[in-house]
Amino acid sequence: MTQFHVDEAVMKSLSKNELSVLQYIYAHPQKVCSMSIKELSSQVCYSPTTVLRLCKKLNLSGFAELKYTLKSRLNHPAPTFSASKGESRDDTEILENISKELAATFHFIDHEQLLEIVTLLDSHKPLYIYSPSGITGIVAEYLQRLLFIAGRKQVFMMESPKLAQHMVKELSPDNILFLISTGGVFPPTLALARIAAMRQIPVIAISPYEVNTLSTLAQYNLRFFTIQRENSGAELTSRLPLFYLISALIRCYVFYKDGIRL
Amino acid sequence: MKSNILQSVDLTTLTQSERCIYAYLKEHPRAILTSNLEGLCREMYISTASMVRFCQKLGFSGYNELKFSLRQELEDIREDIKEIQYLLNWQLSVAMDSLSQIDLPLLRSICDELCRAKVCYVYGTDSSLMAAQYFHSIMTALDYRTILLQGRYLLEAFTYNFDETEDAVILLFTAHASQEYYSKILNNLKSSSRRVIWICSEENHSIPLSQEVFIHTQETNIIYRNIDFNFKLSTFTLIQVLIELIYQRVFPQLPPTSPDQNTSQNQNIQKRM
Repeated sequence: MTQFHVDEAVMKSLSKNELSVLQYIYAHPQKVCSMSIKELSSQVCYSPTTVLRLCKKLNLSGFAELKYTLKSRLNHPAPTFSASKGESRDDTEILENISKELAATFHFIDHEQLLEIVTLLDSHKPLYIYSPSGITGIVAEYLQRLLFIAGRKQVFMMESPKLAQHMVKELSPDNILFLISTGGVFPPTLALARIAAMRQIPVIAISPYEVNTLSTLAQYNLRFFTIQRENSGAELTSRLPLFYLISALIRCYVFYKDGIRL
Repeated sequence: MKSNILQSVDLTTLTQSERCIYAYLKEHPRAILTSNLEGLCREMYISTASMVRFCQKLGFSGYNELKFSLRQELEDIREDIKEIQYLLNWQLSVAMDSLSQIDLPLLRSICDELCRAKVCYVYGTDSSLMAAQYFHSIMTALDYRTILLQGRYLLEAFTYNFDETEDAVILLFTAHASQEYYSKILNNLKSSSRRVIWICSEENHSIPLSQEVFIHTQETNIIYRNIDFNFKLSTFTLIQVLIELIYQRVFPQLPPTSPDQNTSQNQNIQKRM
């Protein structure tokens, strides 16, 4: 499948506006193929210069090449869900939106980063996972459980922010810190990443594709697409892409452990 | 690589075009795993109706059921996985299959029940506990009164001591449909007016159901050194769709998650209660 070249370095170089344009393109490839650059820029409410800058950062010569790349990718379209009896259009849109988030998350995974993370996981270095309270804590627990099943030894969970800071301050560079954040800006998680950076402890982070502080502090990054949501301060962002991303990571790790070099 | 499902097909019962499908799948058994019905039929230059007829001749209800069975059968055969992209495509196809098997009208009726009830009890243990916790946490953030029943003892104690008049829904997340344990639980709950919704990773072959709703999530079992990973991905997918339906119901003035929006945009939504 033809893909844009979106590695971690490219992703980090994208501005918030450019990332929004990329997401629109990913969600509506068919539409974009028949658009001019002006039509696209008015649709996404950013200037044609932003679109062109994005093309350059994706290592494409311009908008025409982007459309060409998209057209070749349309041979493998994302599934669409048609409304059957008893289903309203709104319902099928829910399925489509979830499928687009997952497809975008998987298509933009940086293979090199993924392999580096798998290699690191395959080492004998103790692994520390920080579990912030709340919904992300469930994701951290999911990761720890799967690592145990995969046979990874020395996986430690840190639950309280103060205790976690204390523990990370005592760690040497021969340890690994695993941090997960849906926004990439959660202060207790960032505090741990900063301490780890000072102590030269390798940090693996899972954070969103948008520019975020956690991804800049971590040496190894896995990213995902999701929409940040909250209800008057109560955060309820979907973690579904995270569950899928972690299960893919674990499957790669198991293959690697069994000597299958991907 | 050999597939038992394809090996056992009686070729004499197949039409000419069905034999073409058979030959193609024998040569590329993994093609079905990462393609949807339309995509695969396009590759083979056949109609979707022919493909569905072929699946039915093999004893499956349709394309998705054949795909699910083939995936399960081929799961342990890994010699041709050499590319990371292949593995990621595989994982993504699991996600798309989980979404396509969702029964939306059924989830909509569960959503009605949840929105009507005064309180929702969510049970989970072991690998299903995380699914229960996830649902519980998001429902709580959406201002629903949700209580987590963690572990079997708590569930059993709860079923012996419930208030029969309470307007409640009970959501059970389980990996197995074990007769000896869950039939007792369901029996205890029978006299109550509460609605039981049971979301299970395996099929229920032995427990007779009356008013309960039973959903088999059809998880892809991935066994590693005799231990099932139990990724629970189909269960998490189902939960997410249910959450989106509830979200849409509670806040109809706002659209559900849309990739058109900037990921950094926080949607501050009004409180329900």
